[in-house]
Amino acid sequence: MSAYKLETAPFDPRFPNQNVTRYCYQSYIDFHRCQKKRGEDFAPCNYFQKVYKSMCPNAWVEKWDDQRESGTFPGRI
Amino acid sequence: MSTWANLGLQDSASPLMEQLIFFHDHALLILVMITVLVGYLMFMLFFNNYVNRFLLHGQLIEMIWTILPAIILLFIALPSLRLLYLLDEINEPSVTLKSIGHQWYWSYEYSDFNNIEFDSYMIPTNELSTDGFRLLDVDNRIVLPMNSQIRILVTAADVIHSWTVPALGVKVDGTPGRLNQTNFFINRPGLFYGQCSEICGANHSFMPIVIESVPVNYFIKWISSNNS
Repeated sequence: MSAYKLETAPFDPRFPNQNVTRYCYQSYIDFHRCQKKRGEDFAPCNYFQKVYKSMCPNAWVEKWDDQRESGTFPGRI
Repeated sequence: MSTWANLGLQDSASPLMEQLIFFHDHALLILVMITVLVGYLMFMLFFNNYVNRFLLHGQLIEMIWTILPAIILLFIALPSLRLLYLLDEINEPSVTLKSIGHQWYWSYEYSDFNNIEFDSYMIPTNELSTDGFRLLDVDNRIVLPMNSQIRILVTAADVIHSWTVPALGVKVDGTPGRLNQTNFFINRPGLFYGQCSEICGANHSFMPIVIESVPVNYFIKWISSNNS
């Protein structure tokens, strides 16, 4: 989807400083918790997905997805 | 731009870098004036044969040469603090670029729209065209829109690297397991070069960064044509 208006993950006041590792990780976790709680078709969950896709390096996302599949993901979902 | 035998800072491509250059020039001017004054005094002392045998104290001059430096320091400190807070301003980015440092190349990800990923290797000198910049040109440049607030997230896959573009006044370390964020704004089109700034092994000097700044519609066209 090529938007003519450029849009990305917004500034989050919970993470105002240079280190935004937690912003990426928190959004990833929030998306999967939201999906688990509200179901896969619940559209508002997609906000978290948009954020973690923009913020998290793809390698991290792949690693976490593999961990979730194998049941070794360290976070609580 | 980045050439050999550069004496000063590179021309700015960002309003913040422009302010940094102004502050640098202002502080350097003050320092040069102080150095010339002190140098002159020392020089004149060489040719001075007078001795004041009755000198005990000089309270007025001591007051002056204490208060005057304090005022000079104020002239440096106030612009410095202004710039410090200016650099920390919060703004809403329109594009996010992820930059991952590897040994010895950078990989970039644009994930706001479709997912564009590519690696950026330095062009080896023996494959360089005659109009290429040695040790600076890369095979795939980072394309970014001008006049847009850009957020860059820097990390690394193996050891610590550092992503920098002097023309934009940006230098951010990329540490494995950590995501460092900074914002910048490019106010003119062009090519802007940088080099890895944290020792990372044998080819640390051979993993440069090149940004190609284009108008927004060209950027959108580039994004859509890179639909992978």
